[in-house]
Amino acid sequence: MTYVELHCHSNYSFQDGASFINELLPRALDLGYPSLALTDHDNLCGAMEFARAARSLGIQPIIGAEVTLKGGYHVTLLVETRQGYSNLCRLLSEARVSGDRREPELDPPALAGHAGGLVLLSGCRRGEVASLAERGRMDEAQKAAGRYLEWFGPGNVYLELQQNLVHGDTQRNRRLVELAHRMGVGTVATNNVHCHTRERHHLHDCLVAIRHLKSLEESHRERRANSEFYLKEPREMAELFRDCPEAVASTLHIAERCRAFDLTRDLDYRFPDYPVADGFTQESYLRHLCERAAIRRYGSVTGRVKARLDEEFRLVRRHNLAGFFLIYHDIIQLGREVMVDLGLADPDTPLEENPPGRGRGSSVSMLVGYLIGLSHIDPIEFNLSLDRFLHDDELASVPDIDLDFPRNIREELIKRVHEKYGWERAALTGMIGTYKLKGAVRDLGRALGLPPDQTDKLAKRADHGSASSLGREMEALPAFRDRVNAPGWRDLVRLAAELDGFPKYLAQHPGGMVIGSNPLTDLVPVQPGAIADRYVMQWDKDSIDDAGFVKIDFLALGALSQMQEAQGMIERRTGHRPDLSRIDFEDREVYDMLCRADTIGIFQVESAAQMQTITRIRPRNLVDMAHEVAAVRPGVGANDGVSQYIRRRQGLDPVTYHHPLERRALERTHGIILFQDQVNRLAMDVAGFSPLEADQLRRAFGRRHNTDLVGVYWDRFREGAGRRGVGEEAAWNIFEKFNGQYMFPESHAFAFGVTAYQASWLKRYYPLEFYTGLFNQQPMGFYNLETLKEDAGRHGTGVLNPDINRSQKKCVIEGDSLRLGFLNVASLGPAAADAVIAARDRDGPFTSIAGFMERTGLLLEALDNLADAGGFDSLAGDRRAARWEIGIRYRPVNMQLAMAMPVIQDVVELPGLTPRERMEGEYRTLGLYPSGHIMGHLRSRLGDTAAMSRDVVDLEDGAPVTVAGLVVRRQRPRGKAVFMTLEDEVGHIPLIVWPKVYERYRNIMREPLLLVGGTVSRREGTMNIVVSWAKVLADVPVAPEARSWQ
Amino acid sequence: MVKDTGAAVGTDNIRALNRPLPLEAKNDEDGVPETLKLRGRWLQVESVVDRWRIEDEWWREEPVGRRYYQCLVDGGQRVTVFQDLGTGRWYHQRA
Amino acid sequence: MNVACILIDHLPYKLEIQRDPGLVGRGALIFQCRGSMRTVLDVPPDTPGVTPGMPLQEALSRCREGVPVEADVPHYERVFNHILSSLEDWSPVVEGAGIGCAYVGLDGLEETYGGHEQLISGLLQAVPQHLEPRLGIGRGKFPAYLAALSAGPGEACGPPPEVRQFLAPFPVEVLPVPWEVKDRLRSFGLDTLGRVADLPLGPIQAQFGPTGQRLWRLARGTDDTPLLPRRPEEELSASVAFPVPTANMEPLLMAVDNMLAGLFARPEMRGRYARIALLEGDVLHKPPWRRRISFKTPAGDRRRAYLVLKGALESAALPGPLAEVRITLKELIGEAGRQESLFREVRRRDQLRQAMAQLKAAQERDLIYRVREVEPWSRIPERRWALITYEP
Repeated sequence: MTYVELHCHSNYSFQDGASFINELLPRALDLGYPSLALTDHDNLCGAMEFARAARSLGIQPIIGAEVTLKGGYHVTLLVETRQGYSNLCRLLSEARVSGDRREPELDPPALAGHAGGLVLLSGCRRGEVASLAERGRMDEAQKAAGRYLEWFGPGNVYLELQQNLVHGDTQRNRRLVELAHRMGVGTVATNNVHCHTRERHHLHDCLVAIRHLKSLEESHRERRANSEFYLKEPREMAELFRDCPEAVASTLHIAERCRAFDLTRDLDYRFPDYPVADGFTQESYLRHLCERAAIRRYGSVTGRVKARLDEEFRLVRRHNLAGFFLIYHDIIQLGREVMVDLGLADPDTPLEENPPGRGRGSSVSMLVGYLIGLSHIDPIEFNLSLDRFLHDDELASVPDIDLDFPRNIREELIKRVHEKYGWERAALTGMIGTYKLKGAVRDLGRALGLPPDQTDKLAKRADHGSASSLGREMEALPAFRDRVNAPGWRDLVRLAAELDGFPKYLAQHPGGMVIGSNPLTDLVPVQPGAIADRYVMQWDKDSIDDAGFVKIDFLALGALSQMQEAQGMIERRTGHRPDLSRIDFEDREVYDMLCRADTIGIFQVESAAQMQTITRIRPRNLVDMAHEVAAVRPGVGANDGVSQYIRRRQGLDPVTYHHPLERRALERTHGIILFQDQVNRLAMDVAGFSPLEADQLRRAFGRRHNTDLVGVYWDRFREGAGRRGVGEEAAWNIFEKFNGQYMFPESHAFAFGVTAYQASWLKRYYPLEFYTGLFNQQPMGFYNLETLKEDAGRHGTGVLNPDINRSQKKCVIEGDSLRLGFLNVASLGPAAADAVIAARDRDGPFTSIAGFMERTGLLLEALDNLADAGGFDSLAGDRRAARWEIGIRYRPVNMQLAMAMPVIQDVVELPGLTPRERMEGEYRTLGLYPSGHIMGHLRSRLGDTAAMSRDVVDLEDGAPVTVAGLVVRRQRPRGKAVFMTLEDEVGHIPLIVWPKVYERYRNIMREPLLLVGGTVSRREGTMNIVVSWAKVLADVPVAPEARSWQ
Repeated sequence: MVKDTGAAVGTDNIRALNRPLPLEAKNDEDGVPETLKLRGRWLQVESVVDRWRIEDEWWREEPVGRRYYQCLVDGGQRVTVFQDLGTGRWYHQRA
Repeated sequence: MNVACILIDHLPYKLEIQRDPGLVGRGALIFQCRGSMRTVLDVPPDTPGVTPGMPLQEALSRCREGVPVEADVPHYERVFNHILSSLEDWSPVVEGAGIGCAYVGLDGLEETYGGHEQLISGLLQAVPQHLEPRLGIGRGKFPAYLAALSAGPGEACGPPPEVRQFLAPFPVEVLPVPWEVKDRLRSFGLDTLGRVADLPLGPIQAQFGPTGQRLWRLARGTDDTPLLPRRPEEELSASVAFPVPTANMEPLLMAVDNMLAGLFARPEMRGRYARIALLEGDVLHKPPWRRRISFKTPAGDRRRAYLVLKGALESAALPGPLAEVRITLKELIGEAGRQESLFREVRRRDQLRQAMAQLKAAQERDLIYRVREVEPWSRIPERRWALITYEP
């Protein structure tokens, strides 16, 4: 070996690097590199991923960064020791905390205090030494190099030579070599790598243009001169530097020096200890907390409770989890304080009776979890077994703490945790924003100088997110068909596929936080977030997992907000607050409702796909619920897993394995992978992977541009399986079951299954509160208000128009109906709503429009909308007359003309409002039509050509049928058939549109109101209409849009 | 409103300076020039003093791709030539 | 006042399909840019749901197969100006009311042309027949406009005997008032001019203020706004083609400077000032680029004009590489306000110009060039400097 690359950018250099780590490393392996450095600009975002992946390929990873100094000069820093790593993290943090968080420039003297354990290369063309040398200012260059030497010490500074065949390289290198000789420092050759192959330089050019917000045409000066900045063969590098072999030899020497540090091994992260009272250990304190809560819950520590606690504490001890649960407890306590402060909890009620949030992890089935307020189900009463989530086997890593909170609690809680631990010890998980098709098309379009409105249109039209399908999309669009090979567009199609998935920026994860016992800035660079006083680590959740950090995820869950609100309303109406941890979890009526797919508005099981499976899985207990929730995930569907699972469950297909070693992992799910943990288990049982390796394998599937990486894992899997007597064919069949799509972990599915059940229970027994909570927590879930209103109606809950004398800010219960709130009216904000309520509370009900206007001071648009929404119906029977009166009375702000002056002379007779106009007014202002359904108005046009949803139910398989309705759902899982749901005045009609039909009627299918024809299809207890044609039913501009398209 | 006065005169042309001039050259298997024909005379390349490469405007109809060589010929004369990466043709140009 | 309205509906569209017949039947959405807003200028006849003035995004969401075509407004204006000129051959009072709509004062013309019929057919023939003009006659512009709307292509309509009755069925959309007002009219169920006209003036005024009075009068057929005849205009232009299309500012500025030098040296500009400079460019694979720059104080020399244009251009984004640029100096005025003395330098330049003009005449081509920096930082050596006609 002759050469190691020590200056290499991945796409984590954000718009200045055109290859993934997953592309650089396999390429380095091909070229025979024993080591490779990663030196992204001013960050270590990719360091952990790089170190892990390199180790797994047998390449020595060298961690480093190209650091920007004041004045825009660059230096390259490489980590030699653990101390050097800390220094690099601190320098990178310092540059962003004290400077610009986005364009950091480090004050050079800061280097002096953090030089230990680092090797400094003098940098690229933009290094101070190199740029001075280029201009022939050798004395100044020597001075600059001398400073580095003084700070880092002899032997730790090298002058960096780069020969990228750019005009001027030869001369500059000659001068640098002379300078090095004169100063007695070493030289080192690097290639300033920005992509793994030459072919990527087009994309790199585009990225440079994008970074400078320019087009390619305008960015000549910023772009690189040529395509030479790729990972070259060592032989080629030796040839380029044949006049200076010592610079090439230095690369090997430096790599050797850096060998001692291993990021995947040497971090030494420690979870903080929870401070306990004197005389307690962590464990005994946890036990003490649990026993006190058990007495509150069960009256005493009964034999069953004690036995269960003993068993759990044995495992807590084995995995050393006491401190972990105590921190959990601590955060729950903080959450509890927030609840009390927000008036959501009574300080006298024990925490576990009204806990602020709930865990998603193993705690769900643990008594410890229940007693410290983490879980919402009593495991003793419901006999939940423990071993599924916490067992004797070695843990791959400490489980994450995923905590779901109602939305309002979460925001405040994050703030308090930051305050309690301080930013150096508690920082938020980073999140790498990546290019999706739309952004890729838009940014590349601008770089290529294509018209933005057209690239926008193309990006929107590309249905399902994959850049590689862009060319096909264009072929399908008449407006773009002739451009697939047109200048600019041709490049767009090619480059968008390359750019798809590229890191775009570092942002903050929605709620993940890491707490450490020592400063996090010794472990990973930390930078200020976009929100003031929040600090973000430069690692995303994968890197944080790899580093073994314990991440606490604070997640906001609308369903919890909905249930919390519903419980409060039940308590107010009935005087009794239902304890959702102790409802009957095997209630037949609740499961019967679920099995009928009567699931609209229910967390996790309301989508069309869930409705299709739930009637076939037919859950009867919480384990079934977990399977239901987990089954409809892309990772299960990818290999047709859902239908196989259902067929096996129903006994229609036998349960088979490709090898008996699969049994332990897959037995409880009929031999089908439903949970991501099962992938790990298979890798361990079938191919002998360690828990850690198994986890890496699973994640390798999820990475982008991973073909080479997965190839490496297949080789290992095959070999490992072979050693355990599994033949190559069986091994391949098992390996084929893995995919990179998302799946739930089992404990997560279980926790969500419990929440889904609790929501179902509320829907079954307290529909009024269920829907009111649901309306008030919008936007959440899959359906728009119109559809929810229809569903509420089917469950005996009517929806009433807003009323100036009865409505509150949000929806409230009125008799057995739901009264819409002021906030449901378009352009009425919280301030206006408060003004109305305050005026009413102060001086009593409104008796005239004039009085309302005078007392509330609402703006014209809000008044008009309130009239169209029916808010004045109780005062003025005619909405048009109300609007006319508002119009002639209204005076813009600060024009205090007498409002109540007589206007009778200006009142005129206006044409009456038709029912259709009334409906349009309500849709426009409320987004729903409380007193009917749009199809009710359109039905008369249809005569008896279209069947109603209730008539379709009785039709036989294969019967031809025509139906009409409002599209409330469109879903296209993975580009297969499109699933749609039509809603008419009495119910829903599920449709399946096969791709050919869809392509043909694609534009029509996007309209809100459709008339479709097809045949009834009945399969395994489900009923769909397979569509063969479609027409636009009516052009109604205000018809509500279906909510999602996935 | 625009009134078409027909007042526009013929379009002016800006003329580029230092345009590359085609040249005959023979190169070795690595693409390095060995002999050049300058002013009708074949000259031996004694050494290559510097080399560089530019690639630009790949998105236009006529991308720019050139491999430049600064050569020492005929006892000390420096000549800068390039090979067009698209056509393989050689040109002489002051850099 | 008798007015004829000559209406060429969808003129931009008709001109675009004349230029590119491939657009026929493809739902062209002709749009123009105003700042960052792109709004629809014209669409093919019978495009449902899309109206001129609508944001392009919205139009595209309603007309999903639509092909956006960037408007070439200068072209439409040239064509339409030509039509206005032809109409001016028939009447001294011609108002252009936006592209495709002209009002012609008719009072006293029938005698001149030997009768109503002759006058009408003459006016219709002033427009190329393939543009299918419609002609409407009424007392005032608004009734004439609605009469034109009612006329078939190439035909005339009006004046209506009972104007209020004639207007009654028209939807309120035709009123020249802001769309918010029309929206409110519709929300009250007042969806036709007849319904508006049937109400007394007082309540309408109470509801809509001064606009109410105007729309009520229009709905009843009363429009006494005067015709605004156009004024002839003079302008000068020059253009430059680049050796290689460029999106960089330096060569553009250089070309601008050179063109201005040429323009201000022209005898027609001697002692005169321009209020407006129109910059237009042909962009590679794109619709033409256009920028209108007003001089706060009229520009009478090359240097001042250049500084203003430079300032304006440096803050502008070019849509792509320019192959050719044109400058048109407009609104030329006489020796307004600013009399400059003849300095020696100016005299010297004049002499030089004369000498060059003689040289050019003798050689019949431009011989005198000078070297100017174009893109001195370019890696491509022949892009760095250029020869350009010498304008002293």
